[in-house]
Amino acid sequence: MINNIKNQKSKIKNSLVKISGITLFWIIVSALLLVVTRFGLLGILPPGGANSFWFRLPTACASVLSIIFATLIIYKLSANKKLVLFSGLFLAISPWHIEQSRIYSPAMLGLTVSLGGVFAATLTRKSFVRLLILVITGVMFYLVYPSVWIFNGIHFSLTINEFLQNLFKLISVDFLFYHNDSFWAGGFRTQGVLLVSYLPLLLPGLWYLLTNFKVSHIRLLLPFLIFWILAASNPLFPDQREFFLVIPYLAVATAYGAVVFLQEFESGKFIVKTMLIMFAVFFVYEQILFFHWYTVHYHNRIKNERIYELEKF
Amino acid sequence: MNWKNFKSEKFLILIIIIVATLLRVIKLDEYPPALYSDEISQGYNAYSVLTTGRDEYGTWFPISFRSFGDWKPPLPTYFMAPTIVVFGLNEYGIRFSSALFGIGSIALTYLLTKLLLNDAGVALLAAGILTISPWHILQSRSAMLVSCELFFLLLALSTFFKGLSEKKWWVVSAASWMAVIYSYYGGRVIVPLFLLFLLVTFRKQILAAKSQLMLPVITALLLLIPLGIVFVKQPDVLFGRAKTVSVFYDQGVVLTVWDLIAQDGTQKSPLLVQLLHNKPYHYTIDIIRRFFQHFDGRFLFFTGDLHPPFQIPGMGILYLIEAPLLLIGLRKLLISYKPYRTFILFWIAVSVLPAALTFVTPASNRTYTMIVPFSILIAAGIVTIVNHFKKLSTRNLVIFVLSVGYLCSFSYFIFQYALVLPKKHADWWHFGYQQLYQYLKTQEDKYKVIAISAKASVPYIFLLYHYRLPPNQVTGSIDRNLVVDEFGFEHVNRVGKYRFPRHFEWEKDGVKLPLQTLLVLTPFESVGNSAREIKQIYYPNGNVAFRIYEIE
Repeated sequence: MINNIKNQKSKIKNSLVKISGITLFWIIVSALLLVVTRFGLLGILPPGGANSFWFRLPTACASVLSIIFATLIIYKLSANKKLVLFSGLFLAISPWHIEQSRIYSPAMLGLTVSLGGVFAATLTRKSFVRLLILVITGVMFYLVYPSVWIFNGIHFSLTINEFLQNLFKLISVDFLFYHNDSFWAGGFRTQGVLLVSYLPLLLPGLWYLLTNFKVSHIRLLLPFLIFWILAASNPLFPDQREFFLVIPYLAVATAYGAVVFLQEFESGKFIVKTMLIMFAVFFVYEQILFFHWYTVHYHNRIKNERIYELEKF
Repeated sequence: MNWKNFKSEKFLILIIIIVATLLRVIKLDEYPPALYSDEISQGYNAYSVLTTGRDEYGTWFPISFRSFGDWKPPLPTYFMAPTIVVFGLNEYGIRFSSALFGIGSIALTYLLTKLLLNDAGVALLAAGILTISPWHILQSRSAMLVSCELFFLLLALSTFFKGLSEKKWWVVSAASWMAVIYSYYGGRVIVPLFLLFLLVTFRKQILAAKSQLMLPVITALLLLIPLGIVFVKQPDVLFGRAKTVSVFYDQGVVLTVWDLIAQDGTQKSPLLVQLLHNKPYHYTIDIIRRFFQHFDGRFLFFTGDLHPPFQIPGMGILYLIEAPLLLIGLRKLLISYKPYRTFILFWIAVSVLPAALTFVTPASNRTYTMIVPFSILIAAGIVTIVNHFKKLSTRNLVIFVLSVGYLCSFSYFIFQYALVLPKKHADWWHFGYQQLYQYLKTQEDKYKVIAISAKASVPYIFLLYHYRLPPNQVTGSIDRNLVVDEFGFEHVNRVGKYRFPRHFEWEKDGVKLPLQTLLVLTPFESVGNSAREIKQIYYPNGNVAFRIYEIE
């Protein structure tokens, strides 16, 4: 669990100064992945119009910023360097984050603004300044992401039963790992929010978080709860993207699992190490498969849909 | 625990058992609304074995009942025999043993939970939760194999853990493990896994008692021999029609892979394409998906099992109020019950495994054995919440709120089960056959042939049951088609003057029917002009179950 800021202050200072070779290598790899997956072939992948590159560029830049903000926040709240590095990596290679980075996405802009606001708030201890940051962040969020359903004067029209079922759907394995149908027209709906190979990391991560949960941690979970409820109460559900705003939480939970995984690997027996290596191979395989899916099959689908739309309408 | 507490604990478990008995045996003949084809098949075969020593196929004391070609495990059928002696061949005779296993499993849940967690409060609550569980009541009130499986699994586990201190119990445990195998197909997957897990986890205690292992091992092997012999003769016996419901039988994955390979075109290296799109990967992720579907909140708390006949309309297999309790109980388990937490998590996982290997997911019957660990977790959740509050008045308030929550949930369940289900899912429970055969009995002398469509169910078994045809006469008079269909079922073409077209089509089958034929079809099937509708059989909601025509 994210540790107390005061107790970890000295450790943070130390870790800031000491960057080992492997950490540097990790950061460079993550940064390279980030640049390639966000800006590589941005104008043509997914297929778009003549000005797609410039139209998409702000979101791509925002996505990079969102990852930087997220890692800095985690760094501020936790002394665990591995956790920070893994969280950054998982955000960088998350299918949903990549997909939203490469289109014009108000949700991505909203995420970046939110994370930027939270990061700014961690830089000060003055309540007034924090309140000011909150207001500015709120206004900016409204400006960049006006399509959030509550901003549009739409009334909550779901039954309690539907709303609760939506809540469960958003945290179901089917949605998270298999069918992200939150963005039907143009979305990457044949994949989940995360890849299936993240599951063996997410589960121990959740285990760790659940067993170390304290009532005081609710404030850290508050944004997750708000966005989760907001997404589930969208009258157009499942066509909603508010749930995208919780993606840093999923990255952190997965990162906790990766830290546990690494500990097991370092202290494990031969059989445990072999199993973990096999899992790591599967993880890399699935990540490659995802890029193939994205660049070939998703690309083809979007291209065909665009042709169909042009011919039909 | 002092004597007074011990007495109150005994009193409470007695109350739980009484309530459980009332909920499971009252009006067994009315709820569920009719006997399902599998129940009737088992009941009739139990009756057949009871009267002749042979099943409907003429097999002497079968180790596996061939039934509809699905080779039903034998134990539930044999356990029906005594209740059929007592009540006769009717709903009570068929379902009563399942209800008894349900009641017994509640008592065993209490004992096992106490053995594992050494917490009488959690044990009593787990038994209490099981008593009013919609999932448990539904399965206990119908004769569907899994009630028997759960009982013997609990007996096997309880006696195994008891045997860690008193080794004599391991003989009972060994026999009970084998009983699980003879109760349900899923047991044949989970028993080896359970035994392996227990062997690894408790290897020190087991190896320390080597000399006392001989008897349990011999008992188990002796009990396994009959199944082994039958398996050698007829391999289908082991997993019934598992082949036809397995994920590997379903063409979905194969077609997906083909489609993806085709999309990749011929320009890429075939090896690379094969590496990217291959069946092992797709099957793996498909099985994982099906596994986790059983933990989807919508399945657990809202829709339940959508496959006939296991759904209670408008609710899940657990109460919605139990959602937070389950989560809190899970946390409690992970933190506090360390010696047995792996075992309980393993139990849940292994219970889902047989279902995850099929394409009919999520399924509540194939995963039925996880109802007990779920009840334990919910009970642990309740105890954790109540104990969290130190002040007595707050604690009482929490207990009051939880009690009201459970009372409302239970009332809603009773309403849905007793009033809504018979109207909404009467067809799932094969309602209408009793009324149909009562009518046909009065008409059969007037007609040369009576043809009944097999679209709704397996009509021949309802004929044997409702006419109480003597088993010794039945065996020779049934004309069977032993070629299995796409769902793994065999077919009966004819019993006497009764014919059962497998897929009735008027253009193909109707013209072959002679004059003076009475034809029974579902509302979804049509007939030509030469047939005159003479009667309809209705479901409780007023919809038509069967249309009866006379061929002129």
